[in-house]
Amino acid sequence: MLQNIVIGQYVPVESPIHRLDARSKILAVLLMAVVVFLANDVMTNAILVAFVGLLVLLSRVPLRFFIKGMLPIFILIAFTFVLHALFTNEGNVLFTVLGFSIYSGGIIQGLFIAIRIGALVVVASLLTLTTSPIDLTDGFEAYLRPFKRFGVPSHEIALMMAISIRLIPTLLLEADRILKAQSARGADFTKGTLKTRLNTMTAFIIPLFVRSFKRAEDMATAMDARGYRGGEGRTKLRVLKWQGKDTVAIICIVLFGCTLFMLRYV
Amino acid sequence: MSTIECKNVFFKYTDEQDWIIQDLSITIKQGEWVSILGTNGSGKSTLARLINALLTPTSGAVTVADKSTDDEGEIWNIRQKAGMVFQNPDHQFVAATVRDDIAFGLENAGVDREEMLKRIASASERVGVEELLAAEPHRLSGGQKQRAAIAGVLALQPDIMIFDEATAMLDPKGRKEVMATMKQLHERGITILMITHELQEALVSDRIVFMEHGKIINDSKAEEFFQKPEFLVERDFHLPYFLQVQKHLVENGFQTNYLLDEDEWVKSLCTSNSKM
Repeated sequence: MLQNIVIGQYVPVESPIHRLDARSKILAVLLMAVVVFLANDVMTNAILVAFVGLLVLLSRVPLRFFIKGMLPIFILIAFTFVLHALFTNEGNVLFTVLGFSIYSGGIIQGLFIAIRIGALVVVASLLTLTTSPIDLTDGFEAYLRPFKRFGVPSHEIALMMAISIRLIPTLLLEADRILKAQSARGADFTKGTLKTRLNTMTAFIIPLFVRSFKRAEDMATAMDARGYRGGEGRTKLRVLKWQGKDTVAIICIVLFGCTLFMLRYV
Repeated sequence: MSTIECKNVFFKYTDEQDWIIQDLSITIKQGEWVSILGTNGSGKSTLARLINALLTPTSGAVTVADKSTDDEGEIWNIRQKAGMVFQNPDHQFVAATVRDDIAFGLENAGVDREEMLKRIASASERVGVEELLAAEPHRLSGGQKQRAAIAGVLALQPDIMIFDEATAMLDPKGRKEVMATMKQLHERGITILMITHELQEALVSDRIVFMEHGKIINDSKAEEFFQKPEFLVERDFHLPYFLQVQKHLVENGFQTNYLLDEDEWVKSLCTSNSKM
């Protein structure tokens, strides 16, 4: 069952976006978070949708992965849309529901907001869909490193993230094993009231915790034995390479932001 | 060249405890293959941890290549000289792929990247995991994981390798793979210190150290040690089948001494049979 597990959301296909440095992608997402909110009329929103669509196409990640990422946010998007539709009093009255007059301006405003939030979610998904968790960790570490002098343990955070990522499949496997072992002993995790079910869950949670602590201890010893002594003087096998295309990507985002800015204010 | 020397070593974790290791002295020369046998709680694993400075003796001294494990400044050198492979393959795999895991020790040691790549290539080739460098741990068999762990230690170019029941959790195939790797390391002059419960595995070593209650009660060449299988039987050890047969033959006067190589023994049986 675990043979095909993909950790995180990473979709390993070949594309220009996959090949970008994790740092440039993180920076691009942060920039886009600002740029998205420059769109405020039909023209700029259309351009925004086109631009994000182009990025999605470039990433070669199947659309369903983006849709899956949108689902949890969908309620939020729908909610903001309804709020705008109800409380904006611009344009013509289209129709009335439950004493609320729905104006055309409200519908349009709601749509714009929905597009912006949607675009932001898609862009954020692009980062996690095209970057492996380990590269992502390295990217975050690189951005955290300057804060080391203020006491941010950047190396430790990165190592913690990396070990957690590595242990996800191991934990899943173990959880599966414990579940089966306890079921074999007669534990039923699916029947009874919420209270009895929670009680049976302890038979699952406690062994999982006990074993995790044991593993943590063993792993600490193994790391010690292999000479781990913190981030000082440590070299790295994985190196992030900021290449020309990364600079180009950032420039593209900035140019896109400038275009929206001009269209809005000039 | 790294000689391991333990002199009158005593060890316990807390003052209230009984000694886990008491008055233990042993010298192990470069290139030896030593099996450490003993029942549970006899102090085998503790001895291993004392040798690579994971623990330091309560009294007495442990030195590796004339460097004391008590010397804070030498600990990291000693751990690099005396690498250790543990029992549970899943509990010592730190990184997300085999390549990153082999690199872990090198990164700790501050080896530069160029050198790191070279050493990863040669270490992985020597234990036969060069095809698996990009694989994630959950896609590997137990034997493959242990070999990756060995490669991780090997990349640090140790003189000594300590195996703390490294085959205990493996299936027969994985065991065979790991034993074959050990043999090959031994041939390259690396000292092998193997803690084990399996007599079958101990047969291939040069020297057998038997521990009980934190003391060494037997320290002899493997050929000598197995001449007295009663010693093991008394301690509830399960003799490999071909030694059990030999025991009957010796007890009934058909054979004078025990042969540790099964094939050799079978051959000698055939020749003596043809004479009859």
